[in-house]
Amino acid sequence: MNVIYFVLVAAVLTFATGFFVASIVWSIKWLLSPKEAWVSSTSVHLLHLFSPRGFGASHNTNLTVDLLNNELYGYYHGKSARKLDQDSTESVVNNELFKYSHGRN
Amino acid sequence: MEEINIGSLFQGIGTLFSGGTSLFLTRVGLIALGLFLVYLGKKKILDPLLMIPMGLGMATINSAVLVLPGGKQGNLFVDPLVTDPTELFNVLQINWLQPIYTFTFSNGLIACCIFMGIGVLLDVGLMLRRPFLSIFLALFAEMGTFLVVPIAAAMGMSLQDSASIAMVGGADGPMVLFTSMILSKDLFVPITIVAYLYLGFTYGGYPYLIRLLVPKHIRGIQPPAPKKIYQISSSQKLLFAVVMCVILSLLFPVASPLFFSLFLGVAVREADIKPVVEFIKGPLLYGSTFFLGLLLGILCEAHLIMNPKILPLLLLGILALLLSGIGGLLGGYIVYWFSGGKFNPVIGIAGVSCIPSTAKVAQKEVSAINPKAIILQDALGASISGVITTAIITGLYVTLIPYFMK
Repeated sequence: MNVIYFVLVAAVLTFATGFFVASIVWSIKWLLSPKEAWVSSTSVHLLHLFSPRGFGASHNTNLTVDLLNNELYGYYHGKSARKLDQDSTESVVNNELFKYSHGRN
Repeated sequence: MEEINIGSLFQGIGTLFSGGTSLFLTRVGLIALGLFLVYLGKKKILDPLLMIPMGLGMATINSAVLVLPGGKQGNLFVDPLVTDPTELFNVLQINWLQPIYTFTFSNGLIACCIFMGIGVLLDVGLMLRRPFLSIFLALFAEMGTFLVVPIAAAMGMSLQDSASIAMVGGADGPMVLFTSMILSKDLFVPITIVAYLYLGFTYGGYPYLIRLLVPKHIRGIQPPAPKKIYQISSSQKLLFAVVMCVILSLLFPVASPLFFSLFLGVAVREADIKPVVEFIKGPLLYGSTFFLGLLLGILCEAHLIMNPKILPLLLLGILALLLSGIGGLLGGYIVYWFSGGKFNPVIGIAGVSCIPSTAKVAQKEVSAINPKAIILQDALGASISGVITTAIITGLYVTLIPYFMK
């Protein structure tokens, strides 16, 4: 009985921690992703409303373009926005790991 | 002149016949098994990186038994049972592998070094793509890690030993070593040996499990491409490693050496510190794996292996891996049903964290039915999540068990 209880507690906590980890991973992904995909039309309107140029600027629908403005991004961050996309180091096949595990490529 | 006894002149042979029939048979059997492992390693049926030093070590240690001062039988390689500090200090000066065993194996350093190397080789971006899906599959692929605990307890094992052998279901060697080292000091050598011997099962046995449980028409499903494709930057991966390391260490300080090692490897890779990356993924990882294999072989000495608890461990180890494989496929089926038949359930078996073997097995089995179907990215994501869920379970088992022992 004690063992069953232990396994149940461990399983519940593992699932809870696992999904907690997944939500953190998702948050990190969201936080550092290019935001144009997440900005809705309402939030674009609100952003323009409270922008220094006032409501008149709301007719300018190029805000999402501005968010990706490479030159502006480069000025503030010292590198191109496109660099974010380019420095991905993903490898689909992960050959080195396979080679390590199996002693061959 | 005193008559020369062949048995005392060639002590390896002399001790072979002087210990009784069961010891003789065990030693001969282990020598044969060691040579067979070398053969399997050479043929690439099992991982040669582990099997060559392990097999040769196993064959040699069971040949090189001699009579030590005091008449006791032993060897000049390692004595894993020494605990008394004075005796240990003496043994350290005699047994040539004792320093490596004492200062790297029995304190978990070698497991951490291997984990650091795995971290350097891991591309966590594959998990970051679909975190909830990856974690979901990995959690189901831990079924053996949970279910074997009550089975082992029903067979008369203590809760600590049951949890240690159940960790084989996670298919993560360093994690099994770490858990059994903390929970089952007396059994950690045989449990670790069982774990490493069985890791080959994921490559050899899982394809048959997939074919048995997933019909052909489902096995060839090509999952739909994601609606939005985000490139995961190295900054995201680095932030992930840093945050996860701190949070998991806050939750499970007992397992923090493992978390730290894994995420340090990831962080070093994503920070692009090339000389350190080269060092960790080269000399450190391969050196640690070589010495781990060598020590595991050397520890397969007949006196240790003749422990009556070994046979149940062998059975429970294979059961744990089998149940985890079934659990992974079950998780895959759940996603398959919820996605309206668009998801390939074979991806689920990759949640068993024998990275990247299980992901490769899944892709191979799918490609055999539908060469155009590519599932490797999702499979590797599930595998990477499997490493994390196994680490979480390690932390939980080590932390929870003392409460249940009171």
